[in-house]
Amino acid sequence: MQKRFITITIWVCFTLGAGAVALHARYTADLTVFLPAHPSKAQQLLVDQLRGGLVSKLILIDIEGSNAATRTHASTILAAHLRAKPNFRSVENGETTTLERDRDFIVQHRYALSNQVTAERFSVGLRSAISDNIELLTSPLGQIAQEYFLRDPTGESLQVVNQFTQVAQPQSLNGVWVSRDERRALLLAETRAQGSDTDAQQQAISIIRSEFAILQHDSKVGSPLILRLSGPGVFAVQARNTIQREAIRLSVLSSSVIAILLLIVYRSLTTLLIGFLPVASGALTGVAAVALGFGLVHGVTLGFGVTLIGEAVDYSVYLFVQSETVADSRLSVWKRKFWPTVRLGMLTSICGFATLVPSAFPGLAQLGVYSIAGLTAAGLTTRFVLPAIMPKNLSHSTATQFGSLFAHLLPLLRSWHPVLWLIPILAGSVLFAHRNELWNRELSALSPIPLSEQTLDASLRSDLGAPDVGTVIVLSGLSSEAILQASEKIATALDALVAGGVLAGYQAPTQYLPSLATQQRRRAALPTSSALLANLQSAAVNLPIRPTQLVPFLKDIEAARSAPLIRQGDLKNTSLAAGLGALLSRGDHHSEQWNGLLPLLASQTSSGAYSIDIERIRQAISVPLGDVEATVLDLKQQSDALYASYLADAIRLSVLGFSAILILLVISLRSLKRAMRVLVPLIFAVLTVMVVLNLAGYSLTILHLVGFLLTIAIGSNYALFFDRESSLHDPKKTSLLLASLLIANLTTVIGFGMLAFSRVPVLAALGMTVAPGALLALLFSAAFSENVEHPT
Amino acid sequence: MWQFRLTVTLVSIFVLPNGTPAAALDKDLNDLMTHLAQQQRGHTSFIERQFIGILDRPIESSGELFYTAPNHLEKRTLRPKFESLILERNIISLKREKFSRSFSLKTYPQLGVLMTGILQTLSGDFSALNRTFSPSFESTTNGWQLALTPRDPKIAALISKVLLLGNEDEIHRIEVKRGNGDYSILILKLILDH
Repeated sequence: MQKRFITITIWVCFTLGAGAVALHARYTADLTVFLPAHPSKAQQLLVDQLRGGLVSKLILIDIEGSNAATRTHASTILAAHLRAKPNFRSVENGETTTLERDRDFIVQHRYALSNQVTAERFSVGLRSAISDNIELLTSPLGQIAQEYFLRDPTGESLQVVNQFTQVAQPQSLNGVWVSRDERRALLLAETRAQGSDTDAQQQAISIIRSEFAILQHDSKVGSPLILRLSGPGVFAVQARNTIQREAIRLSVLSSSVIAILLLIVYRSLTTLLIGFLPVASGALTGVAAVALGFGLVHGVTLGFGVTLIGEAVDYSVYLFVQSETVADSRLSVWKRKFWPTVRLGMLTSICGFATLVPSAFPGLAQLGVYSIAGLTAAGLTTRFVLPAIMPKNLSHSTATQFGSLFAHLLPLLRSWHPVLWLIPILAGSVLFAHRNELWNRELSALSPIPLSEQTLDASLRSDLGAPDVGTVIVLSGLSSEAILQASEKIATALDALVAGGVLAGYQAPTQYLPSLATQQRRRAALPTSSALLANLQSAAVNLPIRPTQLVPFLKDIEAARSAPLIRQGDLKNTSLAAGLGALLSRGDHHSEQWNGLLPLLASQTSSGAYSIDIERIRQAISVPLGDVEATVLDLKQQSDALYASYLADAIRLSVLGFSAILILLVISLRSLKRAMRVLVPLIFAVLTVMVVLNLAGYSLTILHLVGFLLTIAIGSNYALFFDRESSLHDPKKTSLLLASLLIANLTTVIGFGMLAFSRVPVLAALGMTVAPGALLALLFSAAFSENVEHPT
Repeated sequence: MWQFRLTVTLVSIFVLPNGTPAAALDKDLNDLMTHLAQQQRGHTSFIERQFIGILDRPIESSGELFYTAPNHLEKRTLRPKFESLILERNIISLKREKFSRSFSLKTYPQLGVLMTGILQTLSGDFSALNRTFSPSFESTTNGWQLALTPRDPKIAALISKVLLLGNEDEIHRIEVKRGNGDYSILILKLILDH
């Protein structure tokens, strides 16, 4: 009694503690879980971009419905309200307020910003500069040019506008940004928080939604408007919510179905509830272990909570069904005869998952830790806590029926035995023939975002001209001036590539702000008033303009000769600030490091695909840049390479795990033959599922691989019991043993079968692998078991 | 075929007769529109002279106009510098050396008043024309003239009038008068395509 009380007290305290840790754990669902724990330099850049780069902070806002006037109104009000919130660094909707400010800024600083400014342009080139601009007066843009013509007869303002608009600008309607079809108003918000800060992103998103809801009650908004959001932060929040919702929904659903099944078997609600204790404490312990070990729990890991039901509920099934009565002395029979088998099955599983722990892929490592902790807790709860509290009299009548049903099937299954040897031959040839498309090597295969959402994101991005994760040149140096000077040198090299059609275009920080050195050079190139007047008099001969009309021009040049240089801070309050901020930023708050980005636009190749010749870019940027370091980074290729390395890593670790399982079995069973008899049916089950998935058109991901590992882990219990069964000679015991296996298997198939219908690809992959895998593992183990119906 | 036959007309351009009964105007205009609507394509050369206040003398340019029914019009300036202006549905695209951009006419209607006026006249779409402009039609000794005044006062402040002069189903002269007193004249000449 005393011992029992202590055991239960320890268990309750432990479970409560685990629950408290799990409750206070931080949950995330962004892509950073896929980033390596110890990245290389190129990977670090990728990590920085995905975690804290501008791209990760953008929220694309889309307003649909009602009419254009209402959408314009909504866009204006929403932008104004969001700009007042500290959560957003900027909210752009194309309103002319910023454009007017930009225009004033551009006109005022045109001689520092225009890259046409040289000494020649205002001396020997003056005539052609002015006559070009006179021609512009006759174009449809002439009315705008005319307004400034006498101040800016060489057209530097327009040149600066051209420099800025090399980057695609969204279309406007009634002064606000709209989609190409003009049916949607578009806004672009940049959060202050990093994209990887899922909690902050969620907060920013709910602010947008609540501001929008207030707007809906606005009297001016008649018919309802629809708000749609997109962007990496939105995806992360959505993924987290989806995974959490799915995990909860599927857990509840599969638990209910399993509960009904077990209720039929046990015919007792108390037994049923007690039977779920190992699952509950296992799940809590797993989450707590991950939270303690990694600092934060990824949503995907949480999803595995569902999967634990499948295996952990088996433990209590074995206990309840295999132990005939619960007289203390008899239970010790279960502990002595059956527990070692359950324990070995549990150790087999742990062995398989332990190999995942050292994985460089944090998601996989979390899964390993979760499973080890969860299964250990579930196993120990079954062994030490359940016997102490389980009901005194268990009903076995239903279980016996299950058992005899299975017993009748056994001879049939055993007769398949020789045919099963065709599996490795057939599977081997199919898999060999499809070896190239067997595995999916793209990171996006794991994305929990539905395709429809990805399509919306792509269309919004294209309408807004918002940057996407693509190929970038990354500069790092010790000052913003060093970065800007290097950017100018690289831009010259890139211009040649653009002219040669190798690149469609690029963005550079110097498109927004020239280096101080360049600004100084331009300032020095401006002539004095008297020199300019003399130049004008000779340039204006035969032009339809008289130098005396151009006094505002002379004044502006004179002012520009002594104007202060423009620095990053001067761009504040213009829409240029966000553009520059995205491309030029200080590194971590501690370092003196500055980073510059030059995103590249792929040109269309002859085959119609968009691609960038990285080698040509590398050659082009190998110019002397002083202390600034330049790296070409293909983010998609980089992330896919990363994922491919995880996959290779996972395959290697799985093979290792499998070997560990084999060694464990050989040692515990003290026979290679017995170990093989346990493992062969499991291998056949995995091979069969692999072939079926392949033929059904699925390419396998890391999660399928994990599913195979789970199949081996769960299936090893069945195989071990069949191995053990060959030493049992009591038909009643055999019947109960078979019943426990069938019931345990049904619960597993139900649990994972539900998962197969999940909208989260990661969970669906697990479900569609383990549910059929576990069923086949049971059937094949039975087929390979030795006939003990007629003991000699 | 929408063809401009060679026509030489000398018509006083800024004098528009008043007091034409509305019904008669609509009927004559409707007849013209019906004729024009039957033309599927057209190709003409143009010479344009622009009179701009701050410049001492007019700027002359020349090029070609291409029309494909019902909603594509290109004004391609070849001299002195290449410039292409294409109006397709509601988007106006401007291409010059180093400059290429598209604008929505809903946002920048002032960029396309002339092009819209020509296109809506050529396509014979009276209701569209009547939505954008207040049209005033007049028969003259040498043919007809159609004066288009933008209905939007903001646009009218920039471009006060587009005047199309023609004979039967051909337009041979277009005049654009701007709010600031600047104006331009286009003389059109048929190009026979084979």
